[in-house]
Amino acid sequence: MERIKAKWLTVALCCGALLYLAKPAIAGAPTFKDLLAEEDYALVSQMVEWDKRAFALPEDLELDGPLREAAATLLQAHVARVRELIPAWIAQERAQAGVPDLRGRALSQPIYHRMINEMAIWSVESAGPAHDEAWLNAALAPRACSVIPQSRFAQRMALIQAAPPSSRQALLAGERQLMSRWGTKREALPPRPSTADLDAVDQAIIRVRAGLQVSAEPMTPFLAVQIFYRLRKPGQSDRWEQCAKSQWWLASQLASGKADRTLALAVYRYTTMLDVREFVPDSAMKPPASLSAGGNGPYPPTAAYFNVEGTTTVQAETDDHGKLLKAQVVSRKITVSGVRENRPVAFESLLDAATLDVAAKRHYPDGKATSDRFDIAWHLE
Amino acid sequence: MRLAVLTYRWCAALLLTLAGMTVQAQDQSPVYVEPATVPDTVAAAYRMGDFAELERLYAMYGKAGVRSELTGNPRVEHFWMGIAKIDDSNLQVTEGYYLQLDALTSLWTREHPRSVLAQLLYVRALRAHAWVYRGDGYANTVSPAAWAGFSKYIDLALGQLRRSEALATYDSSWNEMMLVIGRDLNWDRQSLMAVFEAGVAKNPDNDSLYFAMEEALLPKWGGDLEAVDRFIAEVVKSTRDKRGLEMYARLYAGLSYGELHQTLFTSTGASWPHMKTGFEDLLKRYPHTDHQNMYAYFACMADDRPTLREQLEVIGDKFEPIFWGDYPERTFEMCKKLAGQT
Repeated sequence: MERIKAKWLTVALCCGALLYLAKPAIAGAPTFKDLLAEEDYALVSQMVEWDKRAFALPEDLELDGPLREAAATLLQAHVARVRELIPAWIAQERAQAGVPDLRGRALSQPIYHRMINEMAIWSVESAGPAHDEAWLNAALAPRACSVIPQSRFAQRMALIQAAPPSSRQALLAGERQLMSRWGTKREALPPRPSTADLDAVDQAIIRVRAGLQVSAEPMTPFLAVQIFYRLRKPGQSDRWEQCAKSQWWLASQLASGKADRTLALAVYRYTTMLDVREFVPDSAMKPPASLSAGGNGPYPPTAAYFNVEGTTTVQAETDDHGKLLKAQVVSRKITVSGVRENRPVAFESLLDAATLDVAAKRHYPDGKATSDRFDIAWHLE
Repeated sequence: MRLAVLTYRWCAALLLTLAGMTVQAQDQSPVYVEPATVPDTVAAAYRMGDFAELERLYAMYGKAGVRSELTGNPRVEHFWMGIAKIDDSNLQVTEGYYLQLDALTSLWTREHPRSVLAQLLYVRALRAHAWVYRGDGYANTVSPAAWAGFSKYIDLALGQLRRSEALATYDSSWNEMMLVIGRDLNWDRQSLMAVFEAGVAKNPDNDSLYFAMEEALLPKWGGDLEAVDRFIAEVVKSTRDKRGLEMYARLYAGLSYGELHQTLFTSTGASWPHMKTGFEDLLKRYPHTDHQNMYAYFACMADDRPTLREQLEVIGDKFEPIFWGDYPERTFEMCKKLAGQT
């Protein structure tokens, strides 16, 4: 669905450009300024429409009356906010580029990236301790992973519906606050948990599947049937399984009594965050032959689609034969057009897998075990 | 062996129970629209680990005397059907699944030590785990290692069930579970009968108890068909005032579906006139198309052509294959032909 939206956006932008070319012939000779304003207006409308779809609240989503009403109010305020934000972002992009008439894809793409990044930030951000506690209660509610609609907003409303009633007020207050922060610079954006923390749930599942001891809470039958299904195929979890995995790990961390609650919640938020691959058309998933990352092999297609560039830092441990034992991405300095004031939360991990591939293929000196840290540069050629 | 174990009771009790799952589609009157998917509702709650919801549903459907208004099947059967979707030992999963289920239900027993449901869910999980070890094969095909696994978990299940007996003073599902485990452990008839009688004393409306006991009396469990005849006669005595010969018809029907197939009237003391009266008694209270299908099937088996004709007319296009034996379409066609003959 999201890919369809992305295609729709592309088509709409092309139509906007065609309109720009065709209009003078039909209507005489508008000024360049008029045309630019018209194109901007079209871009604002397209982005608002895109946002409305991303925030769709399906009629058949089971929300009680007061929650649906609260959701509608949140939505209304959000759409009005986005309608004001996009023109401001357009102005910022032009100022940043030093091109007063910046337009077309060079303008629309950064705006699109910024919208996606705002959605990601909204997924991982905290609105304060009361909101965090309420969110923990919501995430651990038995039905938290029962209804997971396509739209992120609908997902959050479904989670609030499934949450204990005592948490609702704090959850809605948190939503209001988080949504009001769209477009602003976040001073207290939670750091991305380490790769080890984010991967811990998958590592635990590997151990459980292998019959090894893991200190964790029992899984729900829903999760257990996914994990222990005889015909299970390796691959990415769908959003229901991901939700159940994250919920299980959160419950396990909290039950252990040793975990940092803030970190446990951050891991939950990051592992259930939107996946930008949902926004990539199928045609862009294969990298063009010409697209390479210096000496690092083919550029990761999703990263290429979003023009993600920068540097990743790997920590690699080898044995005394120079064999790689463990590698993990420990930091990233990446840029994405349109994303400046805040971390590119939505795009941060897009170079990770390719980075680990490079680390795996790298030659390490033998003779002694090492723990080495090195950078890999990623530039679209 | 395992399949045989399952088939009898399921065919007997659950054929009727299945009716409760399809009522919404069949019923035309909004007055009678019931939650058509009680088993699904229950399974959904269990699947997501929602114990509070399971407890709420059990309080509602586990009560003695609560039946589907359309089919007359006890709601408690629907409840356990939903549970069985999650703790079935034949799911396409590895043992890890059952370890998780054991752990989850064990946790519930500790968190809710006064809950009979929590105890029963744990016992069921352990029993399913035992059957995962044993498998579906005949007893003589089960390896010693598999028997050891079976024994370990079935003993755990039995121990847990015994410890919860005092909690289940009014809960006949506890007795049903004990009957099933007792049969797994080859208990003698007297012991099983004592469990059955105690269960019926708690809730005479728990039809599953009758079917479970009936199965335990089958030759494959060391019993004999004469004992089944005697048992059915006893059940009829105790239920006749309230239900006429309904249980007579249903218990013999169950025997046919699960064990004897078309030889019901030649292998047992089943009397068609009595069964016929039983179906009439059932239909008077619950004129449901499922019961009509069953009635017609046995009328055909008994070569009672007028009754068969009458029921086929009532059924019309509401043919329900599940009630027509091993080869339903073929049997239905054959019976229609028979009905056409004078």
